[in-house]
Amino acid sequence: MRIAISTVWLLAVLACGLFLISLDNSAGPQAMAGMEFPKVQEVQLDSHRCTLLLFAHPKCPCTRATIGELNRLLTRCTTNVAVHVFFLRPSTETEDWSQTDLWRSAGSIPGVQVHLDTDGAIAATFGASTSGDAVLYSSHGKLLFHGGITAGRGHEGDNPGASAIVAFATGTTATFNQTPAYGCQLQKQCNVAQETTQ
Amino acid sequence: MTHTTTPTTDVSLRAHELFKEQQLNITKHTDIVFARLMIFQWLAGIAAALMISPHTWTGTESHVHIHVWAAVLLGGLITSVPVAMAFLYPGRVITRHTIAIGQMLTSALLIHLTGGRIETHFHVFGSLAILAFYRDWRVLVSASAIVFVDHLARGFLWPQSVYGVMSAPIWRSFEHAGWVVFEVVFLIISIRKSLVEMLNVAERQARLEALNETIEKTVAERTAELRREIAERREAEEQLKKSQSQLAQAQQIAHIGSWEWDICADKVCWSDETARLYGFAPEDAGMNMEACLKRLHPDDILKVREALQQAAQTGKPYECDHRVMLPDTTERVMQGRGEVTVDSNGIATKILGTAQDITVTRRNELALRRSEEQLRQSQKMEAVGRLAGGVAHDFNNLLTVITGYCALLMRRLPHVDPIRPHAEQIQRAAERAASLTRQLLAFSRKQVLQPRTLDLAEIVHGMEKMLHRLIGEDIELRTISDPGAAKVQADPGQIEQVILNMAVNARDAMPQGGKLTIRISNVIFDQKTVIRNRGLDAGAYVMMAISDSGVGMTPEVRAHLFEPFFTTKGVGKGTGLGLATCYGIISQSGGDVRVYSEPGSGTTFKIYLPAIQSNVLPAPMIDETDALPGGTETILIVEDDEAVRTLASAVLGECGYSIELARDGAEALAVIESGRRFDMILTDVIMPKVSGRQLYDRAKEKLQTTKVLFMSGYTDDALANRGVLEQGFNFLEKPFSPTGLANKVRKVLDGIESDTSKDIALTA
Repeated sequence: MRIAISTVWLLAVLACGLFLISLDNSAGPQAMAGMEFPKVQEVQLDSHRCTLLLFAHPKCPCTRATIGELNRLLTRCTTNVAVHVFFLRPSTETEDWSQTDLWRSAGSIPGVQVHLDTDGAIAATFGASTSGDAVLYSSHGKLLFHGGITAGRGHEGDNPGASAIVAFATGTTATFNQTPAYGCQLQKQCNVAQETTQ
Repeated sequence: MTHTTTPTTDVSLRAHELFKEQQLNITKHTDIVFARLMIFQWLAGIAAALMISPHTWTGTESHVHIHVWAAVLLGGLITSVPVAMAFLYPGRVITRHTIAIGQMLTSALLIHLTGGRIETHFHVFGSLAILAFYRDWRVLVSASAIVFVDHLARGFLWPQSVYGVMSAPIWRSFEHAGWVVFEVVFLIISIRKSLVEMLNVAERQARLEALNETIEKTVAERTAELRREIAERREAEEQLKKSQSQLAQAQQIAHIGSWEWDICADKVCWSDETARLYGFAPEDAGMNMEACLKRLHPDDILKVREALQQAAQTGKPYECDHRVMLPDTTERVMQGRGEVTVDSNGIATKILGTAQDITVTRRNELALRRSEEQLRQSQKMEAVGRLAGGVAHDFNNLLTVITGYCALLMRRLPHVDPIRPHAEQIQRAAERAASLTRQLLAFSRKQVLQPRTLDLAEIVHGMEKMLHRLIGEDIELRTISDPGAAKVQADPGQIEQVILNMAVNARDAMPQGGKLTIRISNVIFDQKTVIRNRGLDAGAYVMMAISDSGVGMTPEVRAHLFEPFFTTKGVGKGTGLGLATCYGIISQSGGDVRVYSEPGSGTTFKIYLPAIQSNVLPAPMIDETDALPGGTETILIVEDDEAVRTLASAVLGECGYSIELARDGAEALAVIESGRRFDMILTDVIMPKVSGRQLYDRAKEKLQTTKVLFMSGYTDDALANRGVLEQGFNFLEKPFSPTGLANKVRKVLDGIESDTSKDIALTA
């Protein structure tokens, strides 16, 4: 009896574990970024080096891993990339709503400029809908990469997105130019099509 | 074949039992530890999820983060069953294996939730270390298996879940498993050593228990012995208390106390009886010997101190009688005894002794000595009295003849006859001799008293004039009498003689003058007084105290005061018979004489006579006439003394009586038996063969009308005991004069003094 209970219990745990793993590995909706760097007032393209834009929800717990990965990848290409991080700021909220610990973490990374993205307008301009979405443009304004820089929800560690950015910034060959982003949705899902990319 | 269980086998079995027991305890304890740990981990996971990723956002809208649900639900699922089994089935094998699996699954969840952070893999190693608490290597195997399978599966399917990377080679899972095995191997080694130690501890515990069992058995036996000894000791203590109580009671009854003198410390302790006998207060306990000695009579302190010192020096027993002065000033005579205790050097260390109250014994001894002295004195007086009485008896017979014939001679001689003065001298000398003989008889208490009921006050009052003349003008005479003084039964003449003798002695003791006091009063001797005044019975007495203020007497004189012929007067001034006579008269009258005298303080004689409550009878008057009364009756004279017999025959014959003579009682009986009749028988009392009383007894049937008149120089005790005169017989005292004889015979014949006369009696 006790063995049966233990067995049933073990199986139930395994099932739940599998469900959790599959859920954690489901990426957020992803929209296509423009191939050219759009002209916007909030950010200018750096003509001497690559420009990396990262869009984040200020309260997304999974984005903490993204900020950590940003910090880590910049250690390998800090002089080759101009980094701007845009934090969503709903127009109905004050700036304090956006200036969370993620804001402060991102702002503390050398070479990173943080901005408020009112109602996600900038993110929408660059086709980002998930917190953690990053877009990388060349000094010529060409889209080099877009996607997430973590391997899963809140999972730090080696991942294809971060590796690709480093590769593009340093002028080496990148394996991927698009990865899924894991994080909260920046805006309520409307016309943005969900896409899951390998 | 039978199996015997040896102590070694017992210890081994017990050690194994203890080992299993200890293992079970450890397992149960570890189950509880893990139950608490897993609950803590679950709650901590929920808390961490709530802190790190409480919500997931969609713009401004938020929802509970999936990690929170994972922490709550999946963490709860992982935790629930192991915890429940830990509490429901602690110590079971399945429980600890379930716990091990659950703990490893918790590690897997933690690794997953942290995105495969390598740091969280330490949770696996920590959990394995804690699982080693079970000291069961199989648990580690179960846990390791779960870890390996988890890493292998997730590493293959979702490497980012376990390693934080998108892809990981298969060997990485084996590497992780290898590190786990690395730790588990050392943990198993540690567990084996721990089990060996546990077994050793169990064996030591078993041996200790065996030893304890032996000790407890020994203790139980010893305890039983101690209880028995305690019971015996209590019984002994009860016996001791009882003995002490009996000893104290015995000491109290015997008036013997005990004491102990610690010579080294100079402290004296004593029993309750000793304290009572010596008048010690409770606070006096432990005082030194010198302080104790102060309680003794001052005259005895030195004697007791020397006796104690001598005992302490010689080691010989201490014995010393002494007196004690009690706080209430009473004096007690104690007999002290003690034994000396010496140390190995022969030095006295203490004296253990007794003290006995011998006050009563000593008093009784003193009284006994006095009684013995009185007895010796009485025996001496009795002997002297017998001697004097015997002499007086013979003297009386001689004097009877002398005075009788002298009276007959003088009756026939004319007054002018020149020979008559010579005869008168003979008569006076004979009378003085008769007086002397009477005194001897009085002293020897063998005189014939003629007691009457007397009022001593009247006697003294009647003698006052004579006493004044006797003692002279230089001596003041005072007579004091109690108005209610009782009367006594005594011979008035003899009492007068006593008073005269004592007055003369008082006069002689006061040559320079003084006071002579005669006091008469009633006294009553109760039983206590009788003890102090031996010789007298309890009852009412009349005391006549004759006191003078003269020179007094020394104790030596007092000791011989009543002895005949003892006198302090010069030669020729006293006969030494005065006080002896007084003593005899008073003793014969049933009384006693006491003398109180000190040199220079005068003398008091106290005469005690039994008091009676009867009327005074007048003393008989003796009719003395010169003419001899006569008659013609026939008289038988029985007298063994020929001279007296002849004199009586001559006197009565001259008076006209017909006389028949008999030389003794036997001859008289023969005459009476022959049929002769007589009007009177005049018989001596004391005769050989047949006494006067025997004669009367044998012949009284034939003497119904015959008068009997007894005559004697004295009547001794034997005569009195025969009751010769107890019924009041006619009696004539020797020496008698012819007139006295003739008058007595005539009166008896005439019935004036009949056989019914009761007032003549002999008292011994």
